[in-house]
Amino acid sequence: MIEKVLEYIKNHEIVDIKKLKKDLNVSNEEWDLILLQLQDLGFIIEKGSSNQCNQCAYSKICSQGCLKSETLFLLLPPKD
Amino acid sequence: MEKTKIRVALAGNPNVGKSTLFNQLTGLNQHTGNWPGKTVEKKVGYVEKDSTLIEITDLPGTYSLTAHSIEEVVAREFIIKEKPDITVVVLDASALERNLYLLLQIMELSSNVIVVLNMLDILKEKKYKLDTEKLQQKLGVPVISTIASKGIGIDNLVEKIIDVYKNKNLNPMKIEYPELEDTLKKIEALLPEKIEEYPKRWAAIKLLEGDPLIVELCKKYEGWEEIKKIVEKKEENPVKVASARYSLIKNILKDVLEKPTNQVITWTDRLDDILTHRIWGLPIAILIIFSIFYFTYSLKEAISTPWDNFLGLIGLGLNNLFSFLPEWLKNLLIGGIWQGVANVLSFTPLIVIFFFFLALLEDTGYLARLAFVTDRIMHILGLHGKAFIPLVMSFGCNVPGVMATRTLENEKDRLLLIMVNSFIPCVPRILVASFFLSIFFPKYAPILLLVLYLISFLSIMISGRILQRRVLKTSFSPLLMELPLYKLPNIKIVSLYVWDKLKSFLVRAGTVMVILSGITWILSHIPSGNIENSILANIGKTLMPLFSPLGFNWQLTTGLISGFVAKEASLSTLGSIYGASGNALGKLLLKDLSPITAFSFLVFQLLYIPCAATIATIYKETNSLKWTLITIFYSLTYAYLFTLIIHTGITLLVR
Repeated sequence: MIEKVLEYIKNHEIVDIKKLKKDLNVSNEEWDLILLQLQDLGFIIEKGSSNQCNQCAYSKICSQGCLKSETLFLLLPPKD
Repeated sequence: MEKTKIRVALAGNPNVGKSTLFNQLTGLNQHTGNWPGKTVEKKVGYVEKDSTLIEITDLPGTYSLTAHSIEEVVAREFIIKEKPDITVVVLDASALERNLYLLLQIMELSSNVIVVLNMLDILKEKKYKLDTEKLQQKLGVPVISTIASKGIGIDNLVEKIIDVYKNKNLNPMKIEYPELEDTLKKIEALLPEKIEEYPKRWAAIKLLEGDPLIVELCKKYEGWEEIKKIVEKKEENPVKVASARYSLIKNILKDVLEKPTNQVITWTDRLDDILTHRIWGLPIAILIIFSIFYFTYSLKEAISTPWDNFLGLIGLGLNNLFSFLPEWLKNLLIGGIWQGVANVLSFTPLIVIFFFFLALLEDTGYLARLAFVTDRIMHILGLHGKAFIPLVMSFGCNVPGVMATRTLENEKDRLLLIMVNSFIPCVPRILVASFFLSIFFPKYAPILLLVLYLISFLSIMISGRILQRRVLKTSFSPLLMELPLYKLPNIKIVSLYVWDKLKSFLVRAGTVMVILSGITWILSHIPSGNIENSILANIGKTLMPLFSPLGFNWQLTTGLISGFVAKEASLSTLGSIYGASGNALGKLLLKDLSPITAFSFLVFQLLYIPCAATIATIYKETNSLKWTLITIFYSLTYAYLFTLIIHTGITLLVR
């Protein structure tokens, strides 16, 4: 399954985790395990959601601010 | 009589009730400190039962023993070096897949393991059925059920610890790696008998996984070069180790855990089937974005006239209020500063409506879907899928957009995104565009605004491809997203979001724009008081030969210069030069400029150099003056050439 998931990610470029679970018939608990293993292998890292404005030096003078992201990013580092 | 001392380690994932179990076992008989040389808390407690004293060490909660974190290193080193008599592994019964992963790793290090199944109440809530007897048989170690929060099963656990210690009657399952057993044997044969305190087989597995600590440790051994060849021979070794563990866990749970088969389909699932559909997702996204533009303009048209009248009244009021002042000072305050500020303030309805719709998208959970839906476009644009969020942020302001490029690990990906980021029309640029469009093309304003967005995307595509392939030579890595659930928007959150944006806008109008408008007015009135001969006009006129091929007059050229400081400043500058604001300024511009020139101006101001704050951020983020200057030069050159093509093309077509 780990290989299948890696293949799926590589083929899709952007992956909706919910859709991946549905397509590969993976339960939530199984996904938690796969995610843990992929993180353990150093294949993906969790980026989490963030509100960039908190860190922005220009937040006080910027008239628009950021769009808060509610997404969790898990990124596969490039394989050189 | 001296008591028998049993040393027990308590391990488990975070949030499985391990600390609760520790407290239930030891009560107040515990003390805390730090692990030697680490900032991780160490808790040791004691349980007395008849002639036995059980010393329990609560290990940090970890998901694995891979040594990625201090907690993992502490837990691993304790089991290996301190060699507790028994390791009690607490598992969350409702998430066994992930919890067994840690258990298997511990069982590879120690054969004296007792499993505690906690959170059985949550397991029941999920309607899962677990056969603990079968689980015990498969694992070959005792499995005790507890509900730690209620103290259920604690006595059983204490008795089992004593029983296992006395009888040593465990027969733990052997953890095998079918595809790697031969390789493991080869590595084991090359390793010395003692690798400090680490079991040989375990060290061999860790070498296949590429564990940095074990790799470093084994480098000093004679057979290292040979081991290195074996390990590096197959890149997929770490994946095979992971796959073997995954299959083992699946096999253990196959006959042990029963889950309800009927999956609940939520309305988020149903909506996502349509909204993130491979074919329909994109047209729906475009329709939604276009609808937002349409409604924004329709509502803005209804509100802007009374709002402009209101601003006009304030202008009149200020005129009367400052009637006692000398004429030049009154002109500076009213004709310069107030005119410029009023120009910016005239966009308040647009800001409120636009951000209201954006807040709706965000709060319903759709905005996150846009990243997913537009990924293919990102790739067509020559950008990474992850580029979407920084680009979306840039729709508000390019500054946080540039900062958000930090989500990209690859420096070249980042640089590419930073360079094309300024082509995204931020709200101030859209404010300028909407002002011109509503004057010159009132009927087609929403469509032409969409055209401007398309020009922006086209520019990103051209630049993205050129820079990606020719200059930076980058490659992309995939992105995984956990999309939030859809929900009905909360009016309080939406209101706060809109107010937050409006407040920042008003603060900026009251500070930066006041100063800029004042400076512009002064530069447009010295030395003689006549704008035609002013310093500002002279700067604009000097640059005129450069911009006349684009159809710009000196007033527009001057507006572009001040737009470098802040994009919306180009409007306040035009207001100061023409001595009018709002609709009055519109009428003057309509007399002075052709529609082709107006559209060319919009294209140029959409693409040319980012504002000063963005440039400062680019320098800060790239830490490179060279790349900052390249970004400025590139966007300026691109904007000039693109606008020249557009202007010449439309002019020829119209003729």
